[in-house]
Formats: sequence, C-alpha cells, structure tokens
Amino acid sequence: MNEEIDDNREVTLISNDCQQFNITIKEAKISKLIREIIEEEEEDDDSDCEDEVKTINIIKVSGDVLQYIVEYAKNYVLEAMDEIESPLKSVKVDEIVQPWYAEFIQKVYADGKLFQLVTAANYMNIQELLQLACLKVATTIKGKSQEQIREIFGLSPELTAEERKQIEEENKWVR
Amino acid sequence: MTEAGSEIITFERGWEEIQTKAIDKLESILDDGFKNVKGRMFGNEDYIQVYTLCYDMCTQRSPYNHSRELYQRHGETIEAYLTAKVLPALRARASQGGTILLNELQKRWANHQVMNKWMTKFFNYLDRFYVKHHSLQTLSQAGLRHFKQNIYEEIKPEATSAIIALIDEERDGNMIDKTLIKTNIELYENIGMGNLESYTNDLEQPLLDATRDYYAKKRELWIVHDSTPEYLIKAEKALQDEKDRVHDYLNPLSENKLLKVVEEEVLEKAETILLEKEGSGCYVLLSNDKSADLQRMCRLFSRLDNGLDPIAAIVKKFICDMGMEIVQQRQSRLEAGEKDKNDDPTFVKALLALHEKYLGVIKSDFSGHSIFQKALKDAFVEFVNKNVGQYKNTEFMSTYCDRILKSGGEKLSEKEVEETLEKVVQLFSYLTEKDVFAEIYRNQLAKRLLNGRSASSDAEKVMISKLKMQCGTHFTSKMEGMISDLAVGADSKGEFDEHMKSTDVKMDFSVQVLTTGFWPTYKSPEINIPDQMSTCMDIFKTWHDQRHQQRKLTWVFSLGNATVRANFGKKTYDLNVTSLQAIALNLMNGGKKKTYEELKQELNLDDSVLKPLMHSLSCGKYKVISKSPASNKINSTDSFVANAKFSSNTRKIRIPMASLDATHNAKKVDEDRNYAIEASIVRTMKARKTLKHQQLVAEVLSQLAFFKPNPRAIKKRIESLIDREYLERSADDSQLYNYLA
Repeated sequence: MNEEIDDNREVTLISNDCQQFNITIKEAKISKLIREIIEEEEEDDDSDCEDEVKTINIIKVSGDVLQYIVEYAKNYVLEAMDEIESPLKSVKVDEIVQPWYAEFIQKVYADGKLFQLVTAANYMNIQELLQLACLKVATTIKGKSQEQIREIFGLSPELTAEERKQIEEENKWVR
Repeated sequence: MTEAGSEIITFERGWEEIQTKAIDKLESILDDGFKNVKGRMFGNEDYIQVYTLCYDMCTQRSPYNHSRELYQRHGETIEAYLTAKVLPALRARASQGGTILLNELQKRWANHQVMNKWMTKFFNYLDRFYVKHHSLQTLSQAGLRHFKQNIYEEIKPEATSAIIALIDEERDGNMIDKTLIKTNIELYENIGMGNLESYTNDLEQPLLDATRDYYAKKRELWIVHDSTPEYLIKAEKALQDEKDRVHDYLNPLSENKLLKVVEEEVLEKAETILLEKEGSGCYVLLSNDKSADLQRMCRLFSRLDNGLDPIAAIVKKFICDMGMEIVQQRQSRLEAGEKDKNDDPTFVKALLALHEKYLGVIKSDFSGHSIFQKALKDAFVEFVNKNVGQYKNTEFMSTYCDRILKSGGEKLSEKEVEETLEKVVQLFSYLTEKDVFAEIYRNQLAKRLLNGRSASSDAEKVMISKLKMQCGTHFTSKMEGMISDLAVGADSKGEFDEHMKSTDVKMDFSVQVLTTGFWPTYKSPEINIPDQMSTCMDIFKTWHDQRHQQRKLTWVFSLGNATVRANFGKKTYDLNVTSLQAIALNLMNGGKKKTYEELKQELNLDDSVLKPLMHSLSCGKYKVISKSPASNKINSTDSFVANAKFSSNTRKIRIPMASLDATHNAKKVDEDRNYAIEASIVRTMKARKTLKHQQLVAEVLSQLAFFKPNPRAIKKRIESLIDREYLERSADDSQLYNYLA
C-alpha cells in the first residue's frame, strides 16, 4: 500500500498498564500487527473518516517494554537497521548492526527486559526487532554453561525430565 | 513463553470466543450482503482481541498449545460455510439461467475473498510459525483451495456453459454484461493459485471448441451468400472482434489460440473457394484493380502458414496472362501484315508499363511481400522470353535503350532517362539470353559512340553501371573499355592536333583509336585511298608508333566520317558523309562519268560494299550522284555521274549510308557461349575430379548466369572436351566423368 508515503498522522498506542505513547503511523507500521489494523482502514478510505484509528490497545505489552519499542521505531524510520545476515559474521553485536542499535539492545539487556522484548516483538510482529533481540540472546549465551545462562537470565532451576521431553517434542523443527 | 500471571486458555473457551466475536459476525455480514456495515467490518479493538486470543492459544506451552486445532478449525469453518450456504445458493440459481448463476457466482466469489481475507487476518499468528514449521499451505491458500474443491469444481460445468452462451450472444451482436463475464473469468484465473491450469482446461478449451463450431457455421453461411470481398470484410471484423474480446475479459494468453481457431475456420478452410470464387475471386479482383480488397486479402491470408502461396500463384498466372496478351498483340500485328521492325518501341513500352503497374500493385496491395515479387519475376521470365517474329525480345529491349540514349530519339529529361533505363534494366533482368542482349547492346553502343550520336556520356555510364550491378563486372568490361577508349581518344586528340599544325598538311584530321576486343568486329574493305587521306594517315601512324611502339594499327574505313565540300552549279554544300562515301565522291569529282565496273576496280571494293555505297549517294533523299538508268536499285550495268542539277535548301547535308554489319553477330554469341560452357565444365571438374553426367549438367546450368543452354549443347561441349583430353569417361560407368589434369 502507501508504504513509501510518509504518513505523519499520529496514533496512540496503549500498553496493558495503560501507559500511552504517541507515534506517527509511519513509525507504527514497522509492526505488522499495527499495519494490518491501519491498512484495513486505508482500504476503506472512501467510507467516512470518523472511523479513523486513533488508539490501539497493545494488550500483551507492558509500558516499560512498549517504551523501548517506540524508541526503536522512531529511530528505525530515521536509519533503518542493517539486515542481520545469517550466519552471523561476528560474535559482537556492534560489529553486526549500527552503533545505535547495539547500544539500544545493550540498554534493554542491562534493564533486564530482553526476554520481554523478544515476546513483545514477536507479538507485535516486528521482524527486525525480534532478530536484534535474538541476536543479543545468542551473543550473550555463547560459550556459557547452563548454570551461567540460567543465572544471567534469572531462569528457574533444572527442568524435570518430563518438561525436557516436552520441549524437545515441541521444537523438533529446530534440529 | 506464557507470561506470568495470565491464566491458561482452554481450546473450548478460546474457540467459543473466536466463534462469537469473529466468525459469527463475519458470516452474518456476508449473509446480509454487507447491509449493516458502515466503514470497517471489524474495529481495531475487536480485531486485536481476536488476534491476541489466537496468539495466546498458539504460544501456550503443551499441552495447551492449540495451533494444530486452530489451523484445522480455520479450514473447517470455511468449508462448512461454503458447503452449507454457498453451494446450495448456487445450485438453486443454476436452474434459473446462465446470467443469474453467473451473478450469484460473482457475488459468492467476492464474499469468499472477504471471508478469506479476514480469516487470514484473525489467524495471522498461525501463518507465521505453525504453517511455516509444518510446511502447510498458508491460510489464504487453504481458503482458496476450499473454494476450489467445494464450489468451483462443483459448479464449473454450468458456469462455463453460461459464459460461453453469453459470448456467443455477444458474437451475434447483442449487448452483454462484460463486467460479469470478466469477474467470473478472473475466478477461473485465480483459482489456479498461480498457474492457469484451471482456466485453460475448464474455460479456455471449451471456449475454443465452441468458437470453432460457431465460426464453422458462419463460414458455411457466408461462403454461400457473400462475394469474396464481402466475406473477407466479415472475416476481418470477426478477427478484430475476437481480439477485442480477449482484451475485454479473457486472459491475454488466449489471444493467439482463439485467433488461430478463427483463422482456421474462417480463412484456411475457405481459402481455395474464396480465391477462385466466380466473379469475385482473386483473379477478378486483379483484373478490376480492386486495390482495397486485394490488400485485405493479402493481410488476412498472410496470417496463415503458407496462406499467401495460392494467392501468389494466381498473381503469377494473372501477370503472365497480361504479358502473353502483349506478346499476342505483337503477333497479331505481324500477322495483319505489319512490317517487323526492331526499333518499334510499342512492344517494349507495353512491357514496361505492365511491369511498372504490377510492381506498384505488389508494393502497395501486397505490401511488397517477397513471395509476390517472385511471382512477378516468374511471370515476366515466362513471357519476356517468348519471341515472336523476326526479332528477339532482347533486341527490342536493347534497341529501346538505343532510342533513349541516342541524340534525337525520345525527348526525355535527364531524370526520365535514368528512370526509364532503370525500368528497362529490371525488364532485362528477366531475360534468359542476357549474353545476346549484351552483344546487341555493345554494337549499338559502338555505333552511338563512333557516330557521335550518344546524347549524354553520363547516361551511357549510368546504364552500364546498372547492367554491372545486375550481372557483374565481367558482363560490362568490354562496354567500359569502349567508353574509356573514347576518353583516351579525346585526350590525345589535342596533342595530335598540335602535331598536325607543325606539318604542312592543311586538313582537319582526327583519328579515334579503338582497342581490339572491346569493340565489335567490323568489315574493313581494302579500299584504294586518295592521296590526301593517306598522307594524313601516315602522319598519324608515325606519331602513334612513336608513342606506342608495341601497338599495331589497323584502319576501319567503314566507320570513319568526312566532310566533303561540293559545288553544284553556283551553290556550295558541305556533305557530311562516311569515309567510304567521301572516297567515292572524290573519284566522281569533276563530272566524270563512271560505270559500275570502273568504280569497282578503281575503288577495289566488292559488290557487298559498293552496292550500298552507291545506293546511298544516288538513290537516297539527297541524290548527289545521278545514276543511269535511273532506278532505286543498283545494278552492275549502271553508270554514274555527279548530279549537276542537285540543289537543296540547307547548306549542310548529312547523307547516311546503310550499315555494312548486322546489329549483332549471332555466330559470335554462339562461340562465346561455347567458351563459357567449357570453362564452366572444366572449372567444375577440376574441383570435383569425378562427377556423374546429370550432376555435371546441373552444376553447369546453375553457374551460367547470362544464358540458359540446353543440356544437349552442354553434352556436346563435354564430348568436345573428352576429344581434347580434358576429361575422360570412367571405364566402369559410362555416365561418370573423370578430370584429367
């Protein structure tokens, strides 16, 4: 649709803890979930405009994480993030993406919100952010033992045999 | 990845919510025909809730991960709606007529696209992981597949018949709902999910079959009732209509197939009948100059493979008939007692006019297609080489050129001369005996050049270069040699004039040196020459020998000219005569009476020269010599004396004399041909070493460009070469020749 056109109308994103974030439609559209909603409206452009989307409830995302996402989106429209090539050409994040993104994800990590950001990016369907977050996870756990990883991310102790089997079953495709 | 604090959603509870919030609403909107929808079908609140619900159900840990069930339910929901609602509605309409069915199908297809879109949006999260990891059809593809299996496959026979019926109606000139057809045809195109198999098998093929039937009936109708031009107008319109039809609502890939069917039915199967139709067939159109009809005919049949061949055959036959008529006219004139003259331009002009006309017709009506150019050529080759009467057509053509190129012939501008020559050369290219033309042309050229009768040396050069283009340098080398002899002559004339001034001979005297071989061979009688002349000749010979020691001069008196000043009574005349005439007049000077026998002795001439010589002086328009007894024929008993009573209004008089030589030497042509054939045989055998008789003859025939010898002549040459031991017959096979080095 009108992807190339700068759409500077604003839309308000509301987190599950009722924090509000104003963002332009152009910025918001890096989320494919939001794009689906807005484009549906654009298709009906000829109908009355009262119907225009003003607010969108981002049900699954909390304010502190949505804050990061909005920050990411605003920067993304200024300078699109480099594509993360697979296999990774380095083990250091700042050698793979631009400095802003490397600092950004480091900040999220330090804030202990990395896992929540992964979930939120997945939910809101923001591929580039999801990749960046996963990249951070990958570089962080590289060369670490199970215990260290669990400590870093504050995960619960060992899985039961049953749970382990379950996870393997679910993630067959990984192998 | 369940977030802490949120509770597990069971499939039953989740599905119930999706069912009520999304599916029931969607289906009721479709059923109501969007009556109650203002703006968005689903607000973003509703949508994001359903999306989130699906997201949750797909991201819960096993055993609460419901991806598989959701994917299944997505399909089942669509299938159920299609079989329960859509199919019965279509079935009910099918019996009410084609248009009603198509309208319903159009609506249901549009509905399905809306449903499919929303179902894809709601279950979007499935597409992202579940579908990918299990390599399933995407939601949208699955939705389309359900429509294909449950609706399309069921209803397509009726739908296709309905579409074809509407198209046939449009062909009959009725207005139809093109948009309805277009949207339905889009269904056929899209249902294949990227390939056109459904469209081609389910719609296109039946349509092609129906089209064939339709136009087969039309053909049978038209061919009885319409003339060829009327039929072709209809055929052309039909083709245009079908092309527009494809553009209007069919897939572009159908265009060629559809047009081919129409071409086969309307053109190919009717071609012979149309072309030969009595009163309006191709031949009739040609004879009536029906340009527009012929153009259309050519345009239409050029669409078929080899479709132009039969037309070209008729064109050839027609032109051939026209040409033969010209030949016949000439024959009838001769039979009616007209004298056959080689300089009669009527015949050549008629051929030129015919050629020009049909060259134009082929260019404009048959778009210059090579097959018609060939037809024209073949036709002309056929009748241009049909000789009737005493003179061959080659001679007519060459003489026609002579007429154009010689001063005082046709009055034409420089441009017209060149154009006419171009046309004659085109005609010339059809001649099989080009060598005969060359021989005659060379004789006539020689005469023009030597008698100073050539109107323009530029025109001469133009003509030679045209012949050269047609036949190559070998063909024109002698003619070019003749022209250059004259150029050299003009240069050296000045020098010789200077030389003459330094002698005490006071006479205008000039000599044109001709190179042996370039020029025709002329009779050169050993006439006794008066002293004044021989003095001049000696001066020239000495001068020439100094400059060219290796060259031998031979004098050709029969070609020379002289001006003789003669007094008759009180009046003085300048007589412009040939050298021979001048010598004879010199003898008659002073009013002496001489008998024929005396003249014969004194001049040292035989009858074949003396008779025409004396005839020109005593029986022509200007009788400067009187003959007794007076008559129009020279007898060996006649006697002659200068005509004292001669008088004329003009002071300068040209007295022509009949040529001593024929226009060309047929024997020489034959000799040249023999050389050419032998050269070709030897060349071929040298390359091939051994060859069968038939192959050798064929090869020789293909090599000889300027004439077509008959195989017997070739055989004779082969035998002659065997006698001279260039070739031998093979010991094992009398049909095989070996080359002897």
